[in-house]
Amino acid sequence: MTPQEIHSLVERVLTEEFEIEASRIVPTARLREELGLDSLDGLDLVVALEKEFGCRITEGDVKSIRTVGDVNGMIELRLNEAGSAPA
Amino acid sequence: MISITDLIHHRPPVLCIDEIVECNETDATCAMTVREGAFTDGECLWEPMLLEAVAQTAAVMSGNRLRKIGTKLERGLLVGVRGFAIHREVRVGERVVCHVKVLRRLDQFVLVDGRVTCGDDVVAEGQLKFHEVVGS
Repeated sequence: MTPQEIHSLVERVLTEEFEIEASRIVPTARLREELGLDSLDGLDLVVALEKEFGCRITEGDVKSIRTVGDVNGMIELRLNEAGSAPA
Repeated sequence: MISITDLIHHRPPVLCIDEIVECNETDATCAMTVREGAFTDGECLWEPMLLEAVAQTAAVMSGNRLRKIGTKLERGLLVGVRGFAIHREVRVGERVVCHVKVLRRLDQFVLVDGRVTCGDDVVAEGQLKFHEVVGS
């Protein structure tokens, strides 16, 4: 899966799960301050991402996430670890 | 067998579950016989109490899990409900069984799948999200 494909799926999760306009979902967008997610949304985001990408996300992963780009990078890392990313 | 009131803070008349059928770290089953009282209209249970019964079952599961590791549930806050559907009324005198299954835990939040059955009928079902405030 390419970084762009990952971003597109992350964008889909954020638009469908949290009704955030796609135009606001850019890699530099901060999840809390700019996209309006709060601590209650964290669990829903993790569940939705795990379902979308079929990978396991840890508490440590979540604590390191600040921006959409962080989400993309974390997913890419998890997919690579799972060996599901194409060469 | 540990009692419900040893695990959760709910007390009558709000406490509605009356039996722990099964309880482990990821699943719990509790039962409730609907009795005439503050939360019935004389014939049927007030529907939001089905949600409350599922929440209390989840609280039992959390309380039991925390007790085993030497702490306790200070507060359990219901912070989200998704797709909770009530399929039929429950009449006074009927006994319902509430099942919860953990879908995911993250930090102090837990997402559960909840289901209420009465005999072969699924009375209500949906997802609930809780914030567990852990005491010392």
